Amino acid sequence: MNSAPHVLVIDGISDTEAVLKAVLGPRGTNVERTRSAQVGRLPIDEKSPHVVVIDLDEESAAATASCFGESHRILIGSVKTSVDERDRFLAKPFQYPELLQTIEDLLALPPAA
Amino acid sequence: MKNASLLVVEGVEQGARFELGDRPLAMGRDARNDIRILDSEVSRNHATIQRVKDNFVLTDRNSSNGTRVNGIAIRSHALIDGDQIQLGNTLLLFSDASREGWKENAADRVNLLRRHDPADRSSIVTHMGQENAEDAIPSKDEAADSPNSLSVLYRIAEEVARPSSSLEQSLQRTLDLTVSAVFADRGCVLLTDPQSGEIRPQVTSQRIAGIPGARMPISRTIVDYVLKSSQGVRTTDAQHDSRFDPTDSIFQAGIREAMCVPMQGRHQLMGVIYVDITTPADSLLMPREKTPGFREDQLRLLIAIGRQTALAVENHRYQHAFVKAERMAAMGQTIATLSHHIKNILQGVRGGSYLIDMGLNDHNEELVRKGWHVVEKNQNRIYNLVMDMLTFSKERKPAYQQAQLNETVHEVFELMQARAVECSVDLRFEPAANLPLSTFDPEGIHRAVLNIVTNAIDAVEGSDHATVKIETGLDVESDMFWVAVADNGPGIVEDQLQRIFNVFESTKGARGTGLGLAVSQKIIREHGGEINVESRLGEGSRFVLAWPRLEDSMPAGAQTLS
Repeated sequence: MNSAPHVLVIDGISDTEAVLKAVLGPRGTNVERTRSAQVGRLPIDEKSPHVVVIDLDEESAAATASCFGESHRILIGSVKTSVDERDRFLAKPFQYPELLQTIEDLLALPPAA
Repeated sequence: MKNASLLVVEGVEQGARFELGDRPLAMGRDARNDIRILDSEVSRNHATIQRVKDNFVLTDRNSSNGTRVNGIAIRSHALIDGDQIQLGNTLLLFSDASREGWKENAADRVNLLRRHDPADRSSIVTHMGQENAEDAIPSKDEAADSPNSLSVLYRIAEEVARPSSSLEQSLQRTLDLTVSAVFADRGCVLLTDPQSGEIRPQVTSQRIAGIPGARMPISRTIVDYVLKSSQGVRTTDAQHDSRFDPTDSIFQAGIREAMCVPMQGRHQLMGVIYVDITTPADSLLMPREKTPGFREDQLRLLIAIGRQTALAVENHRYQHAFVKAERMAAMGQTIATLSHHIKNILQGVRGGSYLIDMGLNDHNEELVRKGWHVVEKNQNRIYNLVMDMLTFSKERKPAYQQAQLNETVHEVFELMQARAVECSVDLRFEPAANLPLSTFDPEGIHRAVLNIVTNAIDAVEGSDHATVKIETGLDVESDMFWVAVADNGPGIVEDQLQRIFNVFESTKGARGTGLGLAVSQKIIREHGGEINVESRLGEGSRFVLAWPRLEDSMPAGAQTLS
């Protein structure tokens, strides 16, 4: 795992990655985006990001989330579903300051597992 | 005449409705027709339909396979409401909604006499239950001049089963037949309102012209009796029946005899059918056997018709309820899908606005630029969503003109380059050499190809060596133009392949509207073509949009109803 904080955005609209990259990049946080289908092919150092942002509106979201048990997870969805108590949930359309604040709070915590 | 239309009941365009107006409309497979029928069995210029006074006249234009109305080949035919037109394998239903005023007209043409109205002294001479009526075979005496009950019932059964755009249309045709079959002068179908329970005249029919403006008197007492007892009755002058006060009201009302039968559905009474004969006073002085009047076999027949009509009404109501439920479900799905997509666009706009705001506060021009880029991207998404919705709606009509297909596709290629770069996709365009000018709707083809290319880029995004290749060509043998979009993405699983062209069927989660492929298919079908897909899991997909070359003599601006 890299020493620099690492946020991985999975699926959803590409704008989320663009905004997080523009804001968090200059602060030293790596922001990457991938598709759930490509999760298995991630480089080893990207398989345990500090924070993973997952779009729940994708069919494969639940399976994808289970691949990141060691990361803090932020789940974004249109409809609030029951989520693991250690996960954070944001309902669409969310405010970006809220997402950024949640990420920064989670980055300050030790790894989830 | 207004609100006449043709509804495609069977065929590729099933469910499409074409409004008819004062302008003559050409029908056929060729793109220049006003009503385009995408059916290989339909001639390029098959038929015309035009208004002549109060009628719409359908004329065959020497088509190869002919034009049929209600199963009979025609050269020229004045259409009536409910006619079924067959062109090739396509079946169209002609509807004339100008007669939708029946409900009000029926009420105007009927005088439903109040209960205990002094003018209402009708009385019953025969009453008959459903079980007696089932014995519809006439006696030896009756058989001599009896209408062929089976034949009548057969025609009624055909009539009630005919597709109609409204219940009133079906009832009207059935009542017209009934009045004729039982030799009545007039008739009326009264239906019980499912909500209020009130009985109301629905349609009327008149075989013999009466006094202009005269209303058909209907005894409320008789109707109530039929509804309560579920028995059919024959009424005549009052002296013959002790259950009603003897009066001469029927003579006063100009009615000598009437029949009223229940419309017994499977579970409830739907209403009644009421027919009467008006006989002048001098005819009443003739011997009984010489005067017109209803017989028991006619009452039996009418009861059987009442039962069939009731079942038709019941079926119509069930069907109406199903359609309503389907419509509500479709509307709900439409709203949910569009809201979802708009919400994602809003999310993007919020992201862009946030960056702009932050950049302005920090005097960071780079951040403002990034934010603006996000906003612009979402502006395009809104534009594309609106264009797809418009294309899918019936508002948009293709505008055919001579154009160069390579130029149209190149515009799409250029437009998508930036997105391809952003998604690390190698987008290539390999135009066919020497592609001739041709007649098509450049804006429509642009959109059709754009949607396929957008999907292809989304499909390969994140893949190794992601590539999308666009090609064009003209198949000389089949004389068809084609555009192929191939990607090396994950491919489409078999069961999804069957559904990808369905509206709101998307495999792209938050990024898809489920409109793109449906819109592309609609546009290509408007050109008389089809989209074919080949896909292999793990290897990629290839979409081929192909349509026949249209004759290049098409006037600019020719349009197709859709």
